[in-house]
Amino acid sequence: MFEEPYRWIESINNRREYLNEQLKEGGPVVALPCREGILLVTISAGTQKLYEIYDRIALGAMGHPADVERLRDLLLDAAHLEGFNRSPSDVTARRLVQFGLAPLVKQAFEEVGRGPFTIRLLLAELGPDQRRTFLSLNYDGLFKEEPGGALLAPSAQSAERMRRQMEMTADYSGRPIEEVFPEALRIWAAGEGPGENLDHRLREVLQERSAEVLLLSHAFSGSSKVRALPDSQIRPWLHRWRSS
Amino acid sequence: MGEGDFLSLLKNTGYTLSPAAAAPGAVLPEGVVTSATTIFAFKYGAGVLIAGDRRATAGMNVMYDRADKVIDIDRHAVMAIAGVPATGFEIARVLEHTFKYYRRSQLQELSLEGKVRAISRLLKENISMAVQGIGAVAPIFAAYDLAGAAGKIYFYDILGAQFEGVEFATSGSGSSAIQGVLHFVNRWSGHPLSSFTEEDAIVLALRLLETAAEFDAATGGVKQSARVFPILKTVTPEGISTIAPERMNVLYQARIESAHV
Repeated sequence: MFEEPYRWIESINNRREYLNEQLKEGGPVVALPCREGILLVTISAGTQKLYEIYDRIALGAMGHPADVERLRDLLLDAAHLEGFNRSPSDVTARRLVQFGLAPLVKQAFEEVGRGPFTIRLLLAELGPDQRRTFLSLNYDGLFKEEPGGALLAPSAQSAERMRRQMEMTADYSGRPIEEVFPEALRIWAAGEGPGENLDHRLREVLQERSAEVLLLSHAFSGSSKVRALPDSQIRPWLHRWRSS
Repeated sequence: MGEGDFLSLLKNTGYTLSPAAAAPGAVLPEGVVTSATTIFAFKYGAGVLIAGDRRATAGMNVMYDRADKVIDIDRHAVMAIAGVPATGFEIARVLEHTFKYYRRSQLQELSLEGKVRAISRLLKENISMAVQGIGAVAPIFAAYDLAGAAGKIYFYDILGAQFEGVEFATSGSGSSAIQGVLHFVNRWSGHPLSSFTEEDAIVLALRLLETAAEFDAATGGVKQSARVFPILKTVTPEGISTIAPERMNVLYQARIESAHV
């Protein structure tokens, strides 16, 4: 069926078109540095999108929940085996993506007889020296390190709007979480749809939904530096959009 | 569906906690295996205090005087090991990853019962080494049960049987020297352990370890001149806290060294 090269290229293009269409309905995810470490934020309609992967590594995901789950399992297995057999400090986001996830996702995308992964993922890592690493991975296996923060967007246009919004602030890493959080939500809102009034969009969305927030910080006790922030901590930060 | 079972995941890669049994009758020469110590835990006002002596011996030799046998397993659980450190440390490492892997994969904490049984399972996997006398471990597990809002203490035999210590638990070669003391203090001192402040609990722990060292050659106790203090940790609703040697030093000076009866 795919002996002729152009048919393979055509089927890959069809597949790309299909996946872009599928992901158009997904919700954006934002990962930014902050003074405390790294902040991951999204507003979801119910399905969890932010996960702890290892002691200093977190995952943000958009796409089909079953595909996200399969890849999350793979990440967890690889990270924990490596951390046990060698050392927790040998578990890095770059190794997990470059040698584990990306080849697998690319292979699934290009084997047109199999189903691809309907996903976009980001990994955020807080290094032992406070160095922050952000990586994003597309459904075709393309991955890249993102300096200054990583974004997951449902479409190329959304990604562009989110990037522009993100660049409106020069440096997030020196600012406290209370200041970075509203900026992260505005970046999320820019990805959610076109329009200038991001606060208005947030007011609408946050009437019914809540934010999902993950913080990576060396201030947390114990070996794991990843915590999901409880509603009680987030609620005061959302007040500005919920009170009016 | 992933079951969140890290030990099974490890085994799929060829890992075994305990190597295959040695040939029948095979024994190691005396003095080769590092073992023995004193560990204990008791409940006090705010939670549980768990303590471990620092000495590691092999036969009549003192191998090391700064061993850390009280190991954080997760945010609210600690294990102290008595017996062969090689096995004890490995069990602690497997447990730490087991609990973390479960929490991250299943998106919920493993229940306290699940944690307690995970230790039993590992000790049972180690039976062949334990009965040959080269890998026996008898740990104490202390945790704060957030659901039940109470500190909990469990102790194990080398075959994996688990028991709950209602007020305290002791293990290791020096334990017989202090078990009766703990019972006496709790029953007749006029101040049950549950009424102890953190400071009183630390002082009692230091006194107990010095008592154990008096009667057990495999327990080092406190060596203030060399700044060798035991490992003491508290497990409370807020999590695990390690008592700093500086604080022990001050309390030792004020309430043990200079206290004459």
